[in-house]
Amino acid sequence: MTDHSPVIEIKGLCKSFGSVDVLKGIDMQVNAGEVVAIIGSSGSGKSTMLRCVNLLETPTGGQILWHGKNVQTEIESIYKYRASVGMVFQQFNLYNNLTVLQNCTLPQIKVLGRSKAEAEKTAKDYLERVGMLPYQNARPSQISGGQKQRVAIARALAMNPEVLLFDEPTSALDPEMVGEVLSVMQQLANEGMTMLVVTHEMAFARDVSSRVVYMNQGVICEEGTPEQIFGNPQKQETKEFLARFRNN
Amino acid sequence: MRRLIALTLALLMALSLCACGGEAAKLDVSTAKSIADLKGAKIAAQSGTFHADAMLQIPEVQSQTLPEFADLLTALKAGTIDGYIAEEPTAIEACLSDESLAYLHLVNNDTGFTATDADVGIAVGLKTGNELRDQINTILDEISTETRSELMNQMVQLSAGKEVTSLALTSEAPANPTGTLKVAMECAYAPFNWTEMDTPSVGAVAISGEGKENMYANGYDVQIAQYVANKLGMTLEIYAIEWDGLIPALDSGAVDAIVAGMSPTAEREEQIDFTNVYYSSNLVVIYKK
Amino acid sequence: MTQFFNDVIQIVAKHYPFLLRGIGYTMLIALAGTLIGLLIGLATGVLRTCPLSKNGFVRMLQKLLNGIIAVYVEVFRGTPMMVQAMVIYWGYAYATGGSTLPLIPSGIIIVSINTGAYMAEIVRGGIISIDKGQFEGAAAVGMTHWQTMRHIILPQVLRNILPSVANEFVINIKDTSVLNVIGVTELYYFAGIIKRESFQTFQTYLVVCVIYFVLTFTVTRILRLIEKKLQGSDSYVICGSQSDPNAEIRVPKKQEVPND
Repeated sequence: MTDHSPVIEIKGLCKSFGSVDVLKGIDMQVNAGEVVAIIGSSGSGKSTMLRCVNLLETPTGGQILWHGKNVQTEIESIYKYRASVGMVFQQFNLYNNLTVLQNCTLPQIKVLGRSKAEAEKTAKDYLERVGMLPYQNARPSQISGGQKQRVAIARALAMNPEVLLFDEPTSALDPEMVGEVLSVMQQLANEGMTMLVVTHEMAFARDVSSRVVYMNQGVICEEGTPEQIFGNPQKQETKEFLARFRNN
Repeated sequence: MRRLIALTLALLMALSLCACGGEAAKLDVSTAKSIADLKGAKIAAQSGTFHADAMLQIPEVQSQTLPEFADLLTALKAGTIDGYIAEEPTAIEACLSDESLAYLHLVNNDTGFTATDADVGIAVGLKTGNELRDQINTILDEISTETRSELMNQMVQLSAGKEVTSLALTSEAPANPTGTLKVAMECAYAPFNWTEMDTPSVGAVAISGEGKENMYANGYDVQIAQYVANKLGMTLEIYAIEWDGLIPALDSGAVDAIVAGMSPTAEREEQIDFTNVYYSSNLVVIYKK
Repeated sequence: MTQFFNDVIQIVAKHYPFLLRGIGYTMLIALAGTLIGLLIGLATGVLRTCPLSKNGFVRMLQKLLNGIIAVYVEVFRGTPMMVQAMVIYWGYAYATGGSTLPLIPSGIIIVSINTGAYMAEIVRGGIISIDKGQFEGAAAVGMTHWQTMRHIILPQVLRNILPSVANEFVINIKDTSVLNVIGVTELYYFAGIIKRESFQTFQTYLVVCVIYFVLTFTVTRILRLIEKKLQGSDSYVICGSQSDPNAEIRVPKKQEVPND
């Protein structure tokens, strides 16, 4: 994709929990086809920022624009908006009472109004792509973490979202399962999916993303191409952060 | 297997409790000639009745009250009390049904308890201001004392399972009833009123209400209610209601009258009206032989 | 001793149609009361966990409703069912100038309302105990509060609270006995009549005691079975080949699953 119109624009986003200011004015934009990796230490506010984008958290200041429209005041339905912004969680959040297949069909049927047959066809396509079709009748409690996360990605994709948000998708996984999830994400990136990824996987950020955002203490500290951030960071904080990772 | 043993043991324990309970009471009340002779006895009465008040006339009585009349008998049989207070017809009926029982022939205001007609007489309860009262009084007053005691005697026999062929008090059902007389009683206070299942005895009336199919009421109160309804030219409907629900039932208008062996005490007079007394009996003490 | 057992057998032989009717009404009232109570509990649970609306009027309505539910729960949990039965039954008679509710529906209503108050708390506890991620997972795909509750949360809540619901059912089987104060012809009511007629209080209640126990024990076992069934298996077995990626992959039938 070469169209670079902004899909999501974040303007002066602030979020505080009580007296704690987690986000202190974030400005950034995500263009169609971009893979934006957000890195930063724990507590830097990157997850909160992501959760503000699809309004799982209500911003206390600033705006989030979806194709130029303020999502809190100007769009017709918050539910439709959320349906077009898929989200993959750290803890998978698969619906425990449903099978793998049902996890992928229920949102399509209830939110998009698709027929059961259509929803199942779409769901099976995406389950196939993430390699989880054989497990379509399993329940979340019967499969491993990596498998759960792949189902979660298939569930998000089955909604045909314009943007996918990933909130530390590999942080809760055993090391040997990280690869299977990252390879699915890489495949998606190659196909031109617009993605906003909060991650601790520096290799992924470096190799897959088109832009890297380093957040520190509720603000964007530095932003640039992977080559710029990893090859030639300008800020002292960025350097220290990356140095800590290399040492590990 | 272990469960079975535990269950059997528990059952045996329950049975042994029942069997050895009889030893607890000691005082022999059978020789008492008056309530003065019952000094210090363990006596029980139904709570919320005049019986419970009268019980305290016994010197140094170890009194106990139970909410349900039938439970007094259980207490006596289990041996926790020496005797319990009942009206004479009830006592006769109980002694006829159960050979191990006997009662002290006390006479009110003489050898027995001090009591007025308002205490031990029973009357029909009506909603305050009910115009039927005078009519019912006239009907009740027509029944002679002999008929009353004969009817009561028959009811005692009947409830003790003896055969009775024709009743002392009869009346014709009205050909064209002018309405329905809804009457409330416990159907749990033989021989005044009791419940029969499946096969009604002579003069028994079906109990109205959902879930009460094949259930009948009979007793002295039932016969009086039947007589009054017939004489008023009305159809009788009987509702079985717990003692505590009788006055609310009348007050709310759910029924037209209470005919439930209820005494016209001053406290009750404050809430509802009473007709003249339609039976008056001695208070006696039932004991185990 | 033989006399005693004779008495017991006599009671059963003579009165079994009424004992059966008593059992029927007891089970009907307990079952209907528990189910309706559960529905009340689910409804109040959904209402109480619903996020407050941004619309001022709707928000006021929500707060009012939450207040009413809170009062309902406190009042009906805090008073004995026997008292509630008297108040509701005779209260209705007073309010309508003398018409009384039919007895069996009255019994069901009383047990339902009483159970509903307990269920409201059980369901609320059940909803709270559901992982926050389930709500977020549903919200993130654009489901409404109602859709989330209906399709994701309540099915899980129901499974989790099944032991408590079963417990309420068993309690209700026993507690319908208090309905005899308004004359509902459940099992205990007939016990009263039989004991007055037979003068055999202990024998009568022993029979009724055994009947109650059989009822509750059977119900407990059946519900335990259902619980087990709902829990399902912990593992998902797939037959396939590790070495040959093109081999057929399929989910085996039950009996094929190795028993390890």
